[in-house]
Amino acid sequence: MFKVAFKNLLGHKLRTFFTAVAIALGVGFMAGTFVLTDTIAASFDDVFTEANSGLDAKVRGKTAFEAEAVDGGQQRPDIDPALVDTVRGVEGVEVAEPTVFGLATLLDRDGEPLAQAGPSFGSNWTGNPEVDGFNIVEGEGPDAPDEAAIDQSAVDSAGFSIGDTIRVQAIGGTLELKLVGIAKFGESGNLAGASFVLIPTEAAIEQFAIGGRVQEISVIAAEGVSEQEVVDNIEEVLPDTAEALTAEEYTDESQEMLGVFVDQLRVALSIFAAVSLIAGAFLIYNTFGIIIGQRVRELALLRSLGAGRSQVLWSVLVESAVVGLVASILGLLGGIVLAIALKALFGAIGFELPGLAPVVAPRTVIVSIVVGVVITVVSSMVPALRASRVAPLAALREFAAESATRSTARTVIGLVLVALGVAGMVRGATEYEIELAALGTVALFTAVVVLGPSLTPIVAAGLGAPLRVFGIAATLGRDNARRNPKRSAGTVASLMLAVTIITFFAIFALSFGKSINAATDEYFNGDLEAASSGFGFPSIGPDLVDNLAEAPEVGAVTGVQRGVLKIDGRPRPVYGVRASDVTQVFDLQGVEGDLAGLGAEEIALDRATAKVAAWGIGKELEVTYPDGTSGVLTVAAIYEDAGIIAQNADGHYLLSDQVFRTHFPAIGQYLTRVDVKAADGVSVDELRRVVEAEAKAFPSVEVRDVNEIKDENNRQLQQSLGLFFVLLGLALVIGALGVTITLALSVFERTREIGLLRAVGATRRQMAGAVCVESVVLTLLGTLLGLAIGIAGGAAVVQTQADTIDTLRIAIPPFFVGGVLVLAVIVGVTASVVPAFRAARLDVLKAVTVE
Amino acid sequence: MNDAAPVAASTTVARAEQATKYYGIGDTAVCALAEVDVDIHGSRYTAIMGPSGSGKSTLMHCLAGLDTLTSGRILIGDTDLSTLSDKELTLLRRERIGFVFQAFNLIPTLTAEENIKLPALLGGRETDKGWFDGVVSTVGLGDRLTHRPSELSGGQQQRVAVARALAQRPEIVFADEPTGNLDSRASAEILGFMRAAVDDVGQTIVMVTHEPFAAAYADRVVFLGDGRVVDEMDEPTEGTVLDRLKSLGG
Repeated sequence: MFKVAFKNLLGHKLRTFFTAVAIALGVGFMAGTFVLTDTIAASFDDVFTEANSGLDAKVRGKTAFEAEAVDGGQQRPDIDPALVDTVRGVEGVEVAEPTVFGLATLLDRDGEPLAQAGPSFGSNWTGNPEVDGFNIVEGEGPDAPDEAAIDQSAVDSAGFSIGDTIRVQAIGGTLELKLVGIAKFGESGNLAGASFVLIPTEAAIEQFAIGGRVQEISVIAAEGVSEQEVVDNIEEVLPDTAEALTAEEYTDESQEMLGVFVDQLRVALSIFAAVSLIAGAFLIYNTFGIIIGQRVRELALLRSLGAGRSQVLWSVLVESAVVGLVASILGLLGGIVLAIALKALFGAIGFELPGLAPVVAPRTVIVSIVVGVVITVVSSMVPALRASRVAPLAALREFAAESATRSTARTVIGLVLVALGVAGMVRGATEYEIELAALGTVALFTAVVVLGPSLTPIVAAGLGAPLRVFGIAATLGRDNARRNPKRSAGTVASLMLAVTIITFFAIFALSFGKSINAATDEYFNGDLEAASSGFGFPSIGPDLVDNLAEAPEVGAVTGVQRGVLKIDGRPRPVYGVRASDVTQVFDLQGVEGDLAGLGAEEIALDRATAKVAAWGIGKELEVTYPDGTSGVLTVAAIYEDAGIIAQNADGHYLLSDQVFRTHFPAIGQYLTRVDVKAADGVSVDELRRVVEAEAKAFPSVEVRDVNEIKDENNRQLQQSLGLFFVLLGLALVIGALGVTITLALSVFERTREIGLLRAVGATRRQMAGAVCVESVVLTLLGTLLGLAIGIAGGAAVVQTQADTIDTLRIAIPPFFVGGVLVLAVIVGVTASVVPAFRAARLDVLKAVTVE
Repeated sequence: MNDAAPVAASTTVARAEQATKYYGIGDTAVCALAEVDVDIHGSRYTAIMGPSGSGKSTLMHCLAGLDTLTSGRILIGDTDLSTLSDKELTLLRRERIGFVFQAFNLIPTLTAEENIKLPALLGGRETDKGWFDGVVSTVGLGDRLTHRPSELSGGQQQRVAVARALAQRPEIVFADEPTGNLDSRASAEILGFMRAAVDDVGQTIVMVTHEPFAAAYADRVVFLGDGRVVDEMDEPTEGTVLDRLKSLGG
């Protein structure tokens, strides 16, 4: 009797433990996401408050018009440094220092650009701690023109130390500087992945400032003068092209700007949090379903001893609420640890986020615990309600209480959802409506969850069929995987969710990559491209185009510049090209009018935009340039499509690069890429030697031929997919744990069956094998369903873009599908280790004699 | 493997020598078997009887290689079970022993036929077709072979269990209260099948039971009390067994 009681206790311990693990995991991932984003947001706020503390006002160029980041962002004109002296002379101004901000590529010991996660900038060191955003943590601030301080992260990754000579590629050429100080931005090694080279102000204006112009003036007011007073005083002396604002306004604006970035991060992480939470909810629900199912006898005993139905339900409610609460608190704590780990992960890949202490907002605590407890209680009450409806004596007789009957309502709802989902996806794909295709995918996924119990036996039978060759143990495993379809379907739901989402995004991203490469094949007529390496910051001087145009080996050359113009009252994205050669390098699929002769007073646009606006050749358009001047541009050419030049699919304009040189602020004159076509009879190799020689002045530039351009596209895609998959891997972990938990509970439930098998001659290896096969069949089940939904949804969503991308290709690479399936087998085997060990080590005698 | 040739009635198929079994350790140790010596004769139907706690189940579990002795030894044929590893014991059970338990004898996911062939399937062997058909027709399961246990009555389930025990032509079949959960008609059927197996093909059977009615089917009854063999009886009838139990105070 003592033995039986002990066994029961152990069994309950195991059940309680598994339930708690399920809840803690679900809550933990959600809490972790909250904590991480809150920590990042708070740290950025701190960083800017700290960096601007002590300042009273900022002076900067005035934008001619507001522009959204998606159109190319604000293009603020630069300031003449002479204005600094003017500001210094204003009443109430104590200190006025210019801020220079330019591209400066830090080179490693081999003269190659330092491999880092973010771009690298050059700025000025004023020596006034209230003005400088960075603070020196080792060594001293740069004092002489050949001295520099760089950020801690760059020092760490390059292995520099104080006293070293470092080389920096700036617009004026390569600088050799002596490293005298190591700087940090607030507490952070660098600024969200971007590196900085700091040199004294005079030198910075000379080396980093394009055209000798500066970006901002930082002002400290005299004792007793308010921020607003000093701003008002400065405004009086400023030209129309500049503006002054208080430090408070400036800080708010900076925080708001980074708030956009933090919000994007939050949205991205929220997707993972939601996936984790839904996967966790599936896990909790299924675990409770099994556990309450196993406890039906216990509940029935209580009832036959005179407990009312509501009393039994109350006891389950209280119990689950307590378990839910404790587990949610543990999950919350785990989530905080997870947030710290994720932050470290970001740091490890070079994207260092500021701030040290995790921020646990009251919202995080409340939402985590409420969600955890509610999901737990609901998950336990649904099966408990069902169990309490069984007549007590029937429940006592029948050990396995879960009904095997399939609900007709369930099937009908499932089939309707399938129909809706497929209809949505087909219609979305053919009518180019992305929302419809996405909704269809969600409906299809829901349908598969609803239909799971009916689908499971069929798919599992098919999956298990080839395993027969492994003998009876494999057959037993296969049969066990489908003996309780509801349980199996519930078990693999979270895995299915993870695989669906991974597949969906993979198909989307891979198709996108394939489409870009198809466009390169089709519409890129050039031979080589010189591109600044990553991050989208233009870093190629316009000289490169001019020099290449004069080289005899070059048949055609054009740069690509990006900017925003206010055209006909609205800011619109424009691209600057070398008009004379552009159609030789890029196939614009037909041009009406004279694009090659596009002059400084002319503009070209794409056919679709022209149609919508009803603008023909000769139409005169009022424009405002970023420098504040206005003018009229005449439509001189209309081309079919320049998707190969512009990433912006919603209409774009081409301008002569001469317009950029005259009317755009310094950084806007720089190019992101230069595309070159060889002259007749010149080989690509000969051309490459010429282009590389000319591009030497810009070490962050890489020269690529057509194949290398495509490889680079693939590499970037794979990189971003990689990080994405690391995060989705967490959902996969939840899915695997769900399989482990179900298997462990099933093994516990099948004690007598396992004992019988062992008695009549099943070896430990065979028992473990049966559990392993069951696990693999389950994971493959979830994976196959997830793959199918993900592929269908991904393909449908990609297809919706066929109206804007004419080289659209849907990629379903066999290596991806194969890789996912192999991964599923590995996950299945891993998930089975603990339950298989328990099954193999079961005491045969206890198992066959247990009453 | 053995050719199912009836083993001469005089040979000893299994033997317990000074079999002693304690449960627990130290002061709380309970003696389940105390120096038990029993010979199980080939082609004979042996019943083991005794009151609850007499050690009859423990003796059977030890004989069958499901449990280990504290001291003494068990021989199946010439094999000393105490020298075998877990794996060797498993193979011995699979190849040389048949089992019929009181309840939960069948794997719910397998058909009746698969359950009958289970030990062979676990060993990756084929079951002799002629023999299998003979066993199946003997226990009258011909039309039930594709059914799963949940589709069979309790009596039919036990018939499948008996068929499984006999189908491998084991050296010895152990039956642990095989009729404990059955009504009298189904019980008589099961006991009759086992009796027939002994008479027709010379199967050796050891059955633990507390029912004199069941023991009457055996050739010999061994009575256990407080972990010791207290009596034996050949050619038992329900009446003589009942009398003997009464005299033993069971």
